[in-house]
Amino acid sequence: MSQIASMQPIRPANCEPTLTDSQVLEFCRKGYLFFEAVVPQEVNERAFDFIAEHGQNPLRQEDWFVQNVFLNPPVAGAVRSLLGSNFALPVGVSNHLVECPAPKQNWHRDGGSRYGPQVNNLQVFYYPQDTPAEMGPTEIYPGSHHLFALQSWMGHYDRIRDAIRTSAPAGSIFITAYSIWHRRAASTATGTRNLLKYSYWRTVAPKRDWVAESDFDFSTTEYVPNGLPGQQFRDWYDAAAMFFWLCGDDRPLQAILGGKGWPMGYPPPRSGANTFPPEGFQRF
Amino acid sequence: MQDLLYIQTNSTSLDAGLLGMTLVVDGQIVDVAEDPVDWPYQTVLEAIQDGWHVVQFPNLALLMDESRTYGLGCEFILEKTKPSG
Repeated sequence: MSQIASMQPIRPANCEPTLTDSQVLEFCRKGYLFFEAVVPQEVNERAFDFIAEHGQNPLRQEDWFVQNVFLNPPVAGAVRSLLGSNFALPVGVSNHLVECPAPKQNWHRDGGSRYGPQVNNLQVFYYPQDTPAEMGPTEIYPGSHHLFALQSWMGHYDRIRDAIRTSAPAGSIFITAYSIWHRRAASTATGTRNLLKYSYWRTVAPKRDWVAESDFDFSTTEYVPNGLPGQQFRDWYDAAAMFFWLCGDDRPLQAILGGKGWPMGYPPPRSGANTFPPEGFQRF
Repeated sequence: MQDLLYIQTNSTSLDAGLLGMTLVVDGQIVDVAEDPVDWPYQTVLEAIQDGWHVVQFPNLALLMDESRTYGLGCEFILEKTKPSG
């Protein structure tokens, strides 16, 4: 049997996890984590110049880029926390380059999005240059990674409550759930905007081997304190289901729910009349 | 000329809170304010009171699966018409 000639080998990497339980849950709620100006300025400038000369894709083979961007300590620590040990480094880099000024894009989630609690890969955005509002930073809609939508049916959405603009200084990196809704904002300045995107993926089964908090209580933590878009109770449930999938053990969630049945009920912490399930509760 | 107003809400109620808005006036997509406080309407009802006609209510056939949340809430499409030229 012949092999696909262009297939690239997996490049596994490892480091210490840096995210705490609360930070992992934050990712599950919002679908992104932000790391401001973590890449040194000389690396940003080198990347910017390199892209102009060689394009962005060869960057994945440049040691200085791999060490300072793909393996940037706080970012790689977060990737390690979410994807486990021996996470795979990106095998491709795309550049969402735009000549400003430019109109805004339509809202979309990227092709191939899958919906559910699984976190098997992470889509990452890196700004190698200052990207203020005038340069058309990406807008993202927090929590939308849980909202099933067909890309071709999102084009008429425009202003969305609670959507945020990722204006950021050079060297900033966003880790996102692949299915998060996003778009390029309109730009009013003049110049070239580079935005590099690439994905890491998981090579091991999920387990809670990030930085465990001794006082993190599964049964009382507020899974979604401020609510997210979606049907009643699905907001906290979707975030919790993703969190416990990452833990590799959803038994605490089943204990909160009282079994695998529907409905998911009131979010924790439950108290007084909202206490559910009662002791001895069973679903059949 | 047909002006259009797409409004996404968190329920099918006409006075439900808004999740999103798209406005088309004189054949152009108009930039709605970033801050929801400054949106031209805070409910579908307010838009109706301002002369907008509902041309499509949320399509309930799309919302029948409790196990999954589809799209951005419930969508109303409204129009105003005015003579061209």
